[in-house]
Amino acid sequence: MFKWLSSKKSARKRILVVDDEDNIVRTIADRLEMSGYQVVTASDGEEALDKVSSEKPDLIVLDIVMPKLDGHGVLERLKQMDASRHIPVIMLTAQSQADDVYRANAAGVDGYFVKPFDLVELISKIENVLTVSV
Amino acid sequence: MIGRIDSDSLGRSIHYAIKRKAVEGELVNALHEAEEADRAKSEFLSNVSHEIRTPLTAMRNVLSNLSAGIGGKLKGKQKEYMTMLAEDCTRLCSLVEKLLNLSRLQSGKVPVDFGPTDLAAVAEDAVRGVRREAEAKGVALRVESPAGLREVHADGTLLLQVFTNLVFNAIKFTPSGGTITVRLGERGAEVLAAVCDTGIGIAPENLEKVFKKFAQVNRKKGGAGAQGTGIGLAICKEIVDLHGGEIWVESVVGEGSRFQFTLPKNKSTVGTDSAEGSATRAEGSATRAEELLEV
Repeated sequence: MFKWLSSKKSARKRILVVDDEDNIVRTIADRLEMSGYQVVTASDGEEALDKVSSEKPDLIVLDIVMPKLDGHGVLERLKQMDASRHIPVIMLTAQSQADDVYRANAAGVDGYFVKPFDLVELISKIENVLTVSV
Repeated sequence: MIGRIDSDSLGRSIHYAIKRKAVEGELVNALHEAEEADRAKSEFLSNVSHEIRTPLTAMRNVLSNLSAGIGGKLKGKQKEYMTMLAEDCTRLCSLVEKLLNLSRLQSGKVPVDFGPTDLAAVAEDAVRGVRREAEAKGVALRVESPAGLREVHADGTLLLQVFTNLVFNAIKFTPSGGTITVRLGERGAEVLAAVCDTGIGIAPENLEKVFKKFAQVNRKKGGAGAQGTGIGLAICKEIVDLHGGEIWVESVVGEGSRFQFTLPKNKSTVGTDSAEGSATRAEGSATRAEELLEV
């Protein structure tokens, strides 16, 4: 089974998971790995930007409220740079405030999940976004 | 004309001027205090929301991962307990969502996208969303809408919540074999929506209480409505109020209940409170509503 998964995803997609809550990062990472993805993680906005440069992820799962630089700041910086503009971003928020949604949409987010979300739906969204962006 | 001013009227004028100044000062202070309280409440709500949602997310993810087999295949009691945990976690998430929703509605922080809304389509959507629950309970669901019902100036997403809550509530209190009918119609400058059931009904002394937070007038251990929080109808009332409409209930014990609400058909008849409320909300929503209106 595992062999089949790994051969099917010979070019395994790399996902960057960014959240300052370690429990959330670990649980998302575990599930993504089980689904056949490579996972890199970051726990604040600045680290996320570093990881985008060094790891070149295919997709980013990005929390909003974080130390140093928040998710909106990260998204805006990513969209300003040629090297990262094309990377799809799915945002996670614990607040579901209208301002968050509009700001994220305006900056070009690909998906938006309000915590506590359903992991199955998150994985399915990631698959969809990656299929479209290929 | 400047004439002689007697000392009495001068004294009175000075007295009133001083008093008016003092009252103005008090009003300004009261306004600042109210604004500060409102800001503090919003901030508190936002923090509480963040602090509750964060651990719930981790819990939900852990349960989802364990159920998906990360950590090994579950068997026997492990599986049984995991199902219990997952069910209760879902319940907790739904409660938190409803509570935060209600608080946001009450604090005027919910973005409202007013636009031309096809009420019949919204009612059909709501019925579709709860059909499975109705079938499981053996309750029939139907929507009756006159042809050519005019669109209302409303937020379709919020109204979907009203219909869903009302129909879901009706399913809960209607025994197997019963019927729930969503009926739409017009009444002067308003559209009237009714959710009628053939359920257990509500005692007259409880009719006033049902729209109050946490009121569960039929809560009996193991009986109808034993599950639930009593928040759904309070949310309905907030949303209908926000639209400048009215919501009420009529009922006969043992025969059924009829929840009804009205909505103004036109934009101009939407209450000024909600209009002001929406103006203070995110700019994007106002723009979207305007775009919809121009279509």
